[in-house]
Amino acid sequence: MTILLILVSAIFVNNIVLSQFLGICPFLGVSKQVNTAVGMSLAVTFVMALATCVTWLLQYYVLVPLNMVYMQTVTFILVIAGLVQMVEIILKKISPALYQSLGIFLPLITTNCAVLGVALMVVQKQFTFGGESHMLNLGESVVFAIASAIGFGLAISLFAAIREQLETSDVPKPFRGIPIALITAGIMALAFMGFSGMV
Amino acid sequence: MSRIDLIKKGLIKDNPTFVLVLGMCPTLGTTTSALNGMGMGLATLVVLTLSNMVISALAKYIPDKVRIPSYIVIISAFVTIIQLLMQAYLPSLYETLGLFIPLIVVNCIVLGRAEAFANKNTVMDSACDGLGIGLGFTLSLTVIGLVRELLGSGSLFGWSFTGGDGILIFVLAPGAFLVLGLLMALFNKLTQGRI
Amino acid sequence: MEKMESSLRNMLLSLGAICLVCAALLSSVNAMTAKRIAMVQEQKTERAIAQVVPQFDGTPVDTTVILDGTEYLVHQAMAGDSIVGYAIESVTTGFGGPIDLMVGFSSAGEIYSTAVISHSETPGLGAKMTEDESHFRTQFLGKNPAEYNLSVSKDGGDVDAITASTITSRAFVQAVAKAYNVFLAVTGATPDAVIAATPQVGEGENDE
Repeated sequence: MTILLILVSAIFVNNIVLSQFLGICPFLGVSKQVNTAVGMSLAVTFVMALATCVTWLLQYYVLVPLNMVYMQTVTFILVIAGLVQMVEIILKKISPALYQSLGIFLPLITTNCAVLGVALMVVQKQFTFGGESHMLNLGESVVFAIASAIGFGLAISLFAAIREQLETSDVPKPFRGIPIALITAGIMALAFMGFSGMV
Repeated sequence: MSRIDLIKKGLIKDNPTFVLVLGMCPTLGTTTSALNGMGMGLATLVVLTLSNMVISALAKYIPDKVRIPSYIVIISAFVTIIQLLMQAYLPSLYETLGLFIPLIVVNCIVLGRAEAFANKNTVMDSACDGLGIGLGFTLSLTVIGLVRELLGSGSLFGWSFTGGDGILIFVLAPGAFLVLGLLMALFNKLTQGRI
Repeated sequence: MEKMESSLRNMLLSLGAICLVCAALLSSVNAMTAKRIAMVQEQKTERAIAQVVPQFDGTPVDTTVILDGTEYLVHQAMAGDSIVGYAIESVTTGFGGPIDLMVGFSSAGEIYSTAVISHSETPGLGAKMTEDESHFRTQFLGKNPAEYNLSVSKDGGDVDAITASTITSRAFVQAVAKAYNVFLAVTGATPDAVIAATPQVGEGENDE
């Protein structure tokens, strides 16, 4: 039950892009075409789940026992950067085809603040599901990471589909490019607010 | 380029928010009021200036291949220092900005300036560059916060003059996107053909 | 000096040195600020206590109460030899996350005052519960939950909810009701609660 609540909450209610403002750079940057948007979200899902798993273990089995929680930010970002590199190398060796399609997105993910944001969130914030608030355990954290990434994917894919249409519309000159994209995102965020209160 | 020009160009010509469109997450996430936006801008300014200086001083001792990880470690160290100091001396601001303080690490502005400027310029020039871009960022965040606060809660820098509610949507998530989009269009209109 | 070559030795040396220096720097800044950060946290609780009970002498006496499996910290404010008030911290789930509330009772059981310690409600809507002077907050003052129905008027109670924020209002009211049950337990009205005097302050609160 908790798992289902985490999924609904992270995908719709607290959508990482449209209500938490994380991962805005790729949201605006790689959303010109639906294909690339989907590729990016797949890469993000993979890295986010892996990174959250590793940083969760690091937090509770290394940083907390050693009383070094203040090193959290430094270690987490290094782990993420290292993981991204590793994934890139492994992917290149094992599946060149997959590397062809996802490879170009991987370096961008290190500075995707959604990845670090989710990793930090699961160890810092109490989560509330079904009237109980508690810190997430490892399994829940990974589910939360995957759900957040799906939320990211959903937002960016929908947004890319709208932007493809936007390309052909007659937009006033000062609004062309990013400004009209932001206003579109604002209206999407408005629509996503309809989900609030569901969980 | 003189040092004054280096500082000045970050304000309008190379404004990180309206021209370079970098660091969008804190720009949207922390500007619910002018003071919050300003606080976030200043925290970024301090990290940016210090990391710029240290990176430019160390640049020639860092081999090219480990350049990015080294920069990330240096930047995240400064971010953590700011985080600890804010927790100790500005706890209420720290609580409002929350997650966005550690996330300065992945703010593309900071790593971007290290890569594009600090590693090939002198310490003083890098400091001025960091200061300029940081001030530009602070200014943009304060202005966005000002507009959202004015429309959304009917107050200015926490001083309420309507005695009632504002148009709530502007302090909520959609308002962030709408205000930034509209301000960016206004900025484009005003600077059209001049930069 | 020439730019450092990217040999393995140089790479390890420079990255290692940077990591070491940063770790040393961080641990010293942490050592410098740790005390103050802890103090700030403590002050927050102290201020909340002072806000919700009548004037008292010295420091409040802390008692831990376990009620329905949850641990509550009760701060008893003393003036001379008599207890002038109880400050009870109670946490419920609001709209955006946990609402951490300090509720003060006079020794007769009337709600003296309330203070929001932390919350993550929507600004402009649920977050209005933090406004001390608002009708939502002042309506509780001086009420004795024994003869005051602690639920929102929508649910048939006596409390006027914040406009468009029923979930937050319900959570707030529930926190007050929980605190009142703890009050009853601590004053001996509910015999099955486990009460143990402890010097410990705070209960595993996150350092957020």
